[in-house]
Amino acid sequence: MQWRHPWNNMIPEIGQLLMITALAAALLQFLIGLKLFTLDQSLRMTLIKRFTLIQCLSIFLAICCLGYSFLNDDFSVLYIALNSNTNLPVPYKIAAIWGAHEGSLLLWMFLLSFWGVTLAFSKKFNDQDKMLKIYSLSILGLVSLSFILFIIYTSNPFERIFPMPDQGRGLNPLLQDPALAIHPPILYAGYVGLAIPFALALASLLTPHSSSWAGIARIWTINSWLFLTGGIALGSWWAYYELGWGGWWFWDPVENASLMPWLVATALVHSLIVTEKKGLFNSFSTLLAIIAFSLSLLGTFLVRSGVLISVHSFASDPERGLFILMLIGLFTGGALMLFALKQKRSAPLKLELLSRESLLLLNNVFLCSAAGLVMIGTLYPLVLELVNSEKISVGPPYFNFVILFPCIPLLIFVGLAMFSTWNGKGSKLLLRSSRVALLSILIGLVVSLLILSYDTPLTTIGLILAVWTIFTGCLPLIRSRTSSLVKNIPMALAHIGLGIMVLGITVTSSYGITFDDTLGFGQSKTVGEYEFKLVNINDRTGPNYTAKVAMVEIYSENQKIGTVFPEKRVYDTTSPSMTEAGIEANLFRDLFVALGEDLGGDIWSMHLQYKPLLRLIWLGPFIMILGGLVRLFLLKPLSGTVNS
Amino acid sequence: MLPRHRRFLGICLVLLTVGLASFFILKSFQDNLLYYLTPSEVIAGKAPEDREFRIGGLVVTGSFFRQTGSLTSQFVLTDGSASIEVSYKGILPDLFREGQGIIARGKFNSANLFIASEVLAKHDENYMPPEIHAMETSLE
Repeated sequence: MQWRHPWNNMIPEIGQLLMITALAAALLQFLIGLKLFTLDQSLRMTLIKRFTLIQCLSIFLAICCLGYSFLNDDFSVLYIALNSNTNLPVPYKIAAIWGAHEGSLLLWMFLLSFWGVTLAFSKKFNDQDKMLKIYSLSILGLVSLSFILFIIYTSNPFERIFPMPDQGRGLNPLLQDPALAIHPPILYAGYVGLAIPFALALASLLTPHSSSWAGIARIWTINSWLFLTGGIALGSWWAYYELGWGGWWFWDPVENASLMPWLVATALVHSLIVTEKKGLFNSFSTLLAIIAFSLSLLGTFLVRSGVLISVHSFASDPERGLFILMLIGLFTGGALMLFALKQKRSAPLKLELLSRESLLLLNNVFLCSAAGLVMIGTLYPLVLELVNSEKISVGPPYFNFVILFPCIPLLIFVGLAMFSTWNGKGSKLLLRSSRVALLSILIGLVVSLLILSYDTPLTTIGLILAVWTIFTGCLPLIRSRTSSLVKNIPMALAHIGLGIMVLGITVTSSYGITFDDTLGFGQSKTVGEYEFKLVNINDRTGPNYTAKVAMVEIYSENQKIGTVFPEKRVYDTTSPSMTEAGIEANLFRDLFVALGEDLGGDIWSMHLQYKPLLRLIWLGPFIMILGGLVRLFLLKPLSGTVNS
Repeated sequence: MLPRHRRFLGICLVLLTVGLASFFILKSFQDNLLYYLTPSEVIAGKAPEDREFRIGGLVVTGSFFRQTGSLTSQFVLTDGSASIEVSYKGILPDLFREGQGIIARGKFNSANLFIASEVLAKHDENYMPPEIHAMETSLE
């Protein structure tokens, strides 16, 4: 037993006090923004900024308290006893802070308050936008207030247990992985970042004279879009090598919960461009901002309420889920009500059918329908079970099929939009795009029919659209004058990234090979042009697990190209074993081996796969993120004014 | 074209798109819904004839059988009152165990043996397929 400073025992209580401080700060932040009492505007502004900062600092220090107790193995704290033990490596003790429900909400809350601070101290607001800022901070105060209450009442990470156990239960082994350790903070930053455009949109409804919300909201929307993109891509990568069976997207409700806000946030980024630059689609952008944040809340509800485990488990422990459900009702309902009452009436819109405005609007409709389709498939089984307790599940085939309906036209129009101009005529557009279109079709046909073996019409369509998206994505870099060249880089990168991802998805799903088979020591199996040879299987002891490690050599045309070591791990604290895949990868193909079971007589079952161009599925989002980063940090800052 | 005509055309187009879209979604829903049944319900004849469905149950202790070196395994699933014999060719999930709740997706062959194309087990303490959770709590 190591010596402990007596103060250590009080750290969780200090954390608890800090949470209450944050609660008070959030309450004041909310109240000051309301015009309940008369205050000088600059004083109001100073105070609201202070309280936003105090709230954020308190929550940050509360996280530090929890982290400190984790590092000290203070198992008198229930959350730590359940999610850590003395053998856990230090980096994972820190990652364990957000390893389960209570801590991850604390992190969620910290990120929310952090984004609030960035808004409070932002220089993007003009003098006439002071009220816009005050109102949006006040709305953020209300959001914070509800979530801090939620944490304190239903999910307190500082709760103690008595008597204190000698040893903790340990962190879920699935989570003991670098990618997953940083995955939640990134994804959450994206989720809660959408609270900022939400607050700005509502504030803009309350300040009819301010017109600059769109430009400001765009910065934070791009911001959270970046984090969402990164978080989803990282999650997909983690699922690929850690969950063991080499898929990269499972249409799992948890994945869908993050995809829906991403789709709507993507629509919002585009809609805000039109609102900022042309003063159009103001109502549409406002609505999208409300929907995007509502979907974030829905995602939090789906993941955190236990409703996915079973609607019945939700009903038996309804506290948490009900609370979030009420918050969704409050925020979505309240926001929509405000929207209905205060929405600015705009003049009837006259759009050219194939102008840039129309194409952006059209694509936003496709993005929203994609989100809607995902939502139907995710929520329908839950609703059905609740209503007549009939149990069904909607499998990946549904999603894979219906998602094509919005996505194929989406990709066609993404490319077309690159030829369009603001308020431009359609006839010229079709003429200008025809050469690139024909070239893309030609390349797609040649590649799918001649170079690769013909698979399905869908493969050919996918290839054509991928080439089309990449080519048209490069267009703004080639066509434009040098002055506007730099300005076009973010858009070009985002669209090229999309095209690359589509290429990866198409080729991997059409030409990938996957199967389970048995392998004895010294035996080999052929997968496509590759030969997998099982050399032997040995025992290994890790820091907090024991493992069976296979040595598998991979040959191509009798040349050895690599050796992989897939593992089967047994962690000390939990009985079931974990599969660690062996992967030999380059940009063009992934070779994947997962160890199955010992079938006796030195024969093991193995999961083998060959996935061409799989890496592009993550390279694409990476390039998209680069585009967003260029937009935020390298270019002239986004202005907050409308050039009408 | 008169604005009135234009609007009419627009509305027709929207209706047509929405109609077509709903038709395909509903059809896809119908084709891809997987029903979940307990062994008792299957014995009672509720299983669909020619499409896959899911059976959930506990693996009967002592029923697991596999020939040395073979990928195919057989086991019996029960819900306490009825049981069904299942055959599966492939790698079983890490958490597959006798006495544990699992879900098998597949259909019956002519010899009335349930041929599973997928076997799901409890993922971990915190996450498990909904049906398994419900089953385990009901049997406890």
